[in-house]
Amino acid sequence: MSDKTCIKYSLIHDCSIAVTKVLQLTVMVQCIGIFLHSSSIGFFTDFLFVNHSFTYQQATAVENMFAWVVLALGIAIFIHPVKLLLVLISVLTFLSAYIQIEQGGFPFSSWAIPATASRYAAPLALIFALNCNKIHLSYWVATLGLCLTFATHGIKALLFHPNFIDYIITSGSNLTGLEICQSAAEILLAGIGLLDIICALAILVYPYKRIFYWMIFWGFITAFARITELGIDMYGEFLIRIAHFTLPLVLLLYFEKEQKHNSIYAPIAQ
Amino acid sequence: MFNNSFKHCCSYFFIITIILCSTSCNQSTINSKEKVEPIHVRVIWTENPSNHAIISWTTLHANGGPHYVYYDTISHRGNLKAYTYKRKAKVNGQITMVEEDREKGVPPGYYHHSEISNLKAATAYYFVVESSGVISEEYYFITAPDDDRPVSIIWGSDSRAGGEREFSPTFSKLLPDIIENTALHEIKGHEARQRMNEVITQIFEDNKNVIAFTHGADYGLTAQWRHLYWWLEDQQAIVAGDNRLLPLIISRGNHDTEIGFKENFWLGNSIEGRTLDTFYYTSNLSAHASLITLNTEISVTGEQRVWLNKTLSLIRGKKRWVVVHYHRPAYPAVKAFKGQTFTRVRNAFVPLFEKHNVDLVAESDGHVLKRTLPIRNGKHDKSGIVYIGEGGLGVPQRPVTDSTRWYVQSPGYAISSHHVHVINFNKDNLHVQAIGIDGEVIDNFIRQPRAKVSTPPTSPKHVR
Repeated sequence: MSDKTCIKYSLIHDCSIAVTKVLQLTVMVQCIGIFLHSSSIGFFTDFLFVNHSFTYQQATAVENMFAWVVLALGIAIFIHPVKLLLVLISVLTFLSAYIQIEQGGFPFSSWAIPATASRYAAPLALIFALNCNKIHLSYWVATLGLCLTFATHGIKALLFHPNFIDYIITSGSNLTGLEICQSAAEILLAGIGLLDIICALAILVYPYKRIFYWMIFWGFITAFARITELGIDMYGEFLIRIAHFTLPLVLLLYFEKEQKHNSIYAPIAQ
Repeated sequence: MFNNSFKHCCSYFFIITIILCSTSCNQSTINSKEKVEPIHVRVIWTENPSNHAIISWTTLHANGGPHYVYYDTISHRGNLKAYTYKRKAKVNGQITMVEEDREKGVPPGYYHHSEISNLKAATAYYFVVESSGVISEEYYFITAPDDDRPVSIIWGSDSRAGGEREFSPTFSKLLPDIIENTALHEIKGHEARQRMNEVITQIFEDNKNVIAFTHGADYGLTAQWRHLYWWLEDQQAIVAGDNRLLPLIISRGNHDTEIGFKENFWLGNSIEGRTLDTFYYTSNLSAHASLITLNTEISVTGEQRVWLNKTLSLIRGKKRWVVVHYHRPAYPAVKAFKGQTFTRVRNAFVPLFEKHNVDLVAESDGHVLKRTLPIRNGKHDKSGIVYIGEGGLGVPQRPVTDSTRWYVQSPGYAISSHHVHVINFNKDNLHVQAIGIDGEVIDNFIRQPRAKVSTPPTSPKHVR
């Protein structure tokens, strides 16, 4: 093995460990969030009971089974990531998005699949991260998931999603004591939406370190807005959105690895 | 090894997806014979029902106009030339259809909305609608009073149809009967909704004080045409034997978000010029009774909250009765108390209800029947506000597996039962009844007036 290849693999290995750990944590925390969400609100109960005439007992049994399976899978892959289990988590997460579309009942529910893309992309990114030869696939799965999530949220913001207006007004009041009127919140949302879309496109065509830093910060702030708006009881809503700020972190780690590799590789090449 | 597992996983996912897709409903197909007469004729009330109403209807053909309402205070049995008043439909258009609507066989529809104003209070108005030269039957409705006589409204919500009727034929052939029978143990479609509509009609015919039917929302699973079409078809049954229509007061729920909702329920503008497609407004039911409709599907902390505070400040001192209704509950009987939407509604609206001492709040969405204890500051308080409702106009009712929540303890309750409420605004009390699917009285209670109405009631001055 040449020096060049050795350095490359060493860097990939170091990076891969960090990325794997971040993604394992992300998937587990997300599974806890899905468990809490499913237990309290329910993805399946209304869908099966109201829309498809299952008995309430059957519907809640499916709901409980789904919630506990997701939780168990999340814990299992944190202890030891198994590819098959990760595929299963991704499928179940995707399924919950599909049920949200079928069931409806909240603003922009028909956009659930792109909006939650980072949730089902995270376990897939982890699968590829486990294999050093497929790191580039891990990077692109995470990028696409994050891009879809940010772009969808950006468009929702541009269309003045009512919950986003309430996050701004109430969080503003809770954190600063300021009374923000709806029209000011809408102006703010338009800017936020535009920025989200720019970030979503930028990571696809022109990935740049500061964009990842911003997305980590903004992904955290927006996920945490559930808590700043309505209090700590909303922690489940925060946990389910962990990928919104950990996927940019993963991309940053990959990006820094790539830059480091290039800087070491360049003198060797000369 | 991994590849095989992956393939298996994909196969299972594919099968699950097929099951989910194929369980969508096959609504009975509409007779393909083109209907030309106006259908779904309805009267909508907004802010000032003593002198203003919206007449809406549907046509199933695109023959163009003109579309008119002819009306008068005496019956002319459809003789168009005899009617004193004539109004052209203000808003017309094709109802948006999606692929699923066509698959389910609902015909293309066209909405028509006409606004009539300068009406006399507590007066019968006879009307027909005309579309493309074809006229409807003659109906009539009675405008709201502007004095202090007792009035009643019927209030109910969640009339979306129950479980879909069957698996798709292809899937049904593949599925063993035993699984199909277990999964689809009891298919009721929209029978419960139709039965509740019969109950409403009976109440309407028996109680001469009933002036309106207030819907707390969720009309169908979606506001797409295949769902609203059937809701409107069923709604046509709510008509008295003498063709009296019960005016509707409309609110918007979390399953009514598609464009079809605004197309079919056009409310025009408020008295002060604000568009009512926000679906929050005050209806003056009489000189001393106001009903506030709120919308939990838009921002609840923004302009709506400002408006609510202002409105309650204005009317509380002038009205003996102020009742509020909306869709998503602040005090859910069965759904998660700490759910995001419920917490948001509770934080945004309840402090204003308590500050201004509203007399009763009606909520929906939970698919059970409830009455809470009087609540103030998040605890039981005799001076507090009672929350009723939760939605029982046909949607399958949830079993109440946990009735230990403090706010549904006796005399409050939460039970599984289709229902509709009758709210009687009397001079001495607010009398509330919950009526079940067999017409039985399930709940019956009164609330005493608490507003010190200092000024004598005056007739509404706004003339549109």
